[in-house]
Amino acid sequence: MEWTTEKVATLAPDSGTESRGKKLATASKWSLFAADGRAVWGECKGSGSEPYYVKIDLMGPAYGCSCPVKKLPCKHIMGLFFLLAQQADFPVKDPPNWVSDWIAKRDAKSKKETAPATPKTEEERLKAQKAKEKRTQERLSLMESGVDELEQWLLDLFRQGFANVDINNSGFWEQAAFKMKDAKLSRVSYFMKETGEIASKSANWTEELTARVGELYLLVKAFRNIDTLPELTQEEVFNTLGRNVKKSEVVEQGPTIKDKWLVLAKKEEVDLEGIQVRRVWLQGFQSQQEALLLDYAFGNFGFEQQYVVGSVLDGELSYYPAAFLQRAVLSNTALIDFNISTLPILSDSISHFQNKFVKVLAQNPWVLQVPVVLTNVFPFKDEFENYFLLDKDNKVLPLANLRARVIWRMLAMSGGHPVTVIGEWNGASFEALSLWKDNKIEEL
Amino acid sequence: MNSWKDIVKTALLGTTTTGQIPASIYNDLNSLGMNVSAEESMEVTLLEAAAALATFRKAGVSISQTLDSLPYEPCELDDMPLCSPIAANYLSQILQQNQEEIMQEWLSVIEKLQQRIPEELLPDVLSYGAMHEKIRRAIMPALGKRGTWLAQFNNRWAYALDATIDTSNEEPFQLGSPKERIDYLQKRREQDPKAALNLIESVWESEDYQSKVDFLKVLNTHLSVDDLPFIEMALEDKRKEVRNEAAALLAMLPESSLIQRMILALSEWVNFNPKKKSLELELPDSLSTEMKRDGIREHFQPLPEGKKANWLAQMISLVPPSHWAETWKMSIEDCLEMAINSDYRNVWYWGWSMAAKRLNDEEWLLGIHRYILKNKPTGKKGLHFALDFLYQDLHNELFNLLAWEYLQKDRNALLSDDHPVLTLLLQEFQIWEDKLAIEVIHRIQHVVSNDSAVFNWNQKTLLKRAAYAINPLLYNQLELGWPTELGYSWQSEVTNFLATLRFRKNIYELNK
Repeated sequence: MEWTTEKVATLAPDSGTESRGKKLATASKWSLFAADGRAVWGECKGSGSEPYYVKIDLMGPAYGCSCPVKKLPCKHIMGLFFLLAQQADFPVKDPPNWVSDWIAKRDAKSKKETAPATPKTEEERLKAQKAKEKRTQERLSLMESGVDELEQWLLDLFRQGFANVDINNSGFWEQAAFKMKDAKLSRVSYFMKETGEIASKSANWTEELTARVGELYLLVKAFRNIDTLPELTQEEVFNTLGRNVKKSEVVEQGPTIKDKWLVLAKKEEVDLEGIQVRRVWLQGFQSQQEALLLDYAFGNFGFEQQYVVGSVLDGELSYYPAAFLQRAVLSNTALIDFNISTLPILSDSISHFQNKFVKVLAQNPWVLQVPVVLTNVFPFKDEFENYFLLDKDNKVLPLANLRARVIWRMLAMSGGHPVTVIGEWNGASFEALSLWKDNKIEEL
Repeated sequence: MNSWKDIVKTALLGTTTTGQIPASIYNDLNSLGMNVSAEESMEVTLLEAAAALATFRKAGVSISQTLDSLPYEPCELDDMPLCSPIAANYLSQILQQNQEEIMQEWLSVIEKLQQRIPEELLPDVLSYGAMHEKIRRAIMPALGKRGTWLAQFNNRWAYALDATIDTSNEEPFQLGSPKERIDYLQKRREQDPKAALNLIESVWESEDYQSKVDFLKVLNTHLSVDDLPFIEMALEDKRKEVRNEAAALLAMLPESSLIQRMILALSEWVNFNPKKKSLELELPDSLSTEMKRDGIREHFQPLPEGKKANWLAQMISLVPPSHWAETWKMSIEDCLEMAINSDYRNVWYWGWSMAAKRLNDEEWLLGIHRYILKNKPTGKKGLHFALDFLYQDLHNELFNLLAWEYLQKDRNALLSDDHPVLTLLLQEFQIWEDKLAIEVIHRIQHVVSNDSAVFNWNQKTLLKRAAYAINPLLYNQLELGWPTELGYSWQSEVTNFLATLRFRKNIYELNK
């Protein structure tokens, strides 16, 4: 893949780093810089006596820098990257040890992620399995007690009615959320906090609250009858309650799908607990599959891996076990140049993606959002500053976007002509994230 | 499935209060094939119903709203070519960093190339124009049909539609909102000053004072002797706000009776002694009503002198400075010399500077600058008001001429941090001639080669300004000559300076 200034710019964690990076994108700031096709490295003069050692693995892209800034990519990495994009005669050399060692380590790590675990002796295996079963059992009984409490709480809530309990007090929800967290029901706990927010903010709160309580009760019922459910639906129930599955386990269990994966859209937000959440939506060209890469970042640290909307990654995808395959891990990736003439999976009308969504719900009624690629739609606004998409059946879909800039960009790019809008549908509203135009995807 | 409303209602009130489950809920549960035992508690039944119906509703959110066609016409697709991706990238960088001067340059290059702003950046550019009035005119040619089309949807972007105001239709003036009326009038005044004046005259009597003030402001554009009779009439208005606005306009027209009245009054207050070359003053105890009507403010004190001296200063500021040189038959320099020796030096200098600025009298502006530069009046003969305004909004040629003179005066390879030229060079929106630019940068290079340069804050500010004021094609030349080792804070200043200059050079080269 050819790195242009625009593509590099999308990797910057904020505009300040981008502009500081651009200032460093001049050969005179670097005592050394070179590349070898896989890696790019350089030594950037700083205020101290030692230069900063900057390295980039283009296969990720992944990077490292010896400066003290934790939020990557830092300005030095951005500077080297911009220099690579701008400098016509970028020197090609063999990498020094500090770069080749790092690349070797990265390769070893990704092999470890994908390779089956080292074979163990029969005895060890049995021991490990027993320990795991014990842990699972302990966890299960903890969850059971949590679900008991949840059921009681829901019953009490409906007995008394929303009007008669202190639903506007965040403490009311937080207390319940804490209990759920103690019982290892982390997703339920978060769902509770979110519901508390809706209760105090949404105009349509009575209906939304009733629906959310209903969803929780459905989860309680599913857990109670877990043995009667198909195996993969059981997984879905555990996931929704808040069981964590390690990425390495997902890769280990297989199977993997090797394909060229298009980065359709990206949504980053800070959740109610202050954690940065990022959803990256993919579509595979051959497999015709959609997938979600869900990542969290804590505090000031950025996300380990960056994804450029509109880029294509060659890689192996493994889904988390579930009835409706959605969340996945992508490994052994390499950015590739790939001319996209059409998007792999499309909906040509609002009814089409709604019908698709019904099938998803049948497999996982708690699904939070699905990606939608809606072709031939007209973005427009009405006189009350509400924003919509109009499809070929003359149906009107309200947009949930809160940022005016996104809406305006969409309107500007369409100019009153049909476009393809990519976004997330959560069963109640649609949020536009990117736009497909002139054979490329533009992030909104 | 119509029990949803009942479920929500029961959930709101609580089963303890309602005491029963509405029949509709049982019906819906039955039709979904969920047999709820009659022995189940009300809460359980209600929860089951909520669970089922919530999922059911999620699956079938009905998009019932329809629309036969878009509520507006689509934009014509036939448009100017888009600017290159690299130019677009520069633009988004400029927008992010809010660099108004570079934006001007980018827009002028794109206009020359007859290209337009990429669609996805149009909202940002239009909003930028909404906040930065100066740049609007430059934005318009780069918007293309798409940009103008888009501007109709956001009131803040309406300025971009101005180009399409049809001045032959007077409806916006006769029936529009106050803003629409002024926009129309402004446009009309630009195209046909006389017609705009006639329009104002035709409605003048029936307007409120605020509209009158706004209308008079429009006359600032293409102000000429033709407007005199009308403005003189406006000076008789019963509202002070209108009179002040009219007086301000009249002060711009040397032919006006207002200026003649000032000259006449001053001839009674000021006695010039040609033999001694001195000035004697006789100031009245009160300000006449006529003077007040002409805009002299009784309690306005820009100078530390007394009340009467401040009246005098205001009056002098309304008279073309050339009047004095002609009346006294003296050169500008002699006039300035005489004034500095009088007790009222502040009054004269302030008045003359203001008048020279207002009427853009370059001879006097240069004269004052040169006199101050040469004689550096201090101590007893010092001037006690800020001269900053003398440096502002100068004609670019005059700016360069002056800056060069200031630099030549000291014949120094360095630039001290309190050099008088700094105030002048720091003025925004001035382009430095190459000769000036090279001289200033060489001097800064000399300064930074010195260890003691760390605290030269004014020069660091100057370098920031230089990045925008210098012809970017000098980049290759100015990149050289900097010491290899720089004190830390200077290092980043120089890096920023060169990066900005290089960025501007890249923009210029788009047109290659």
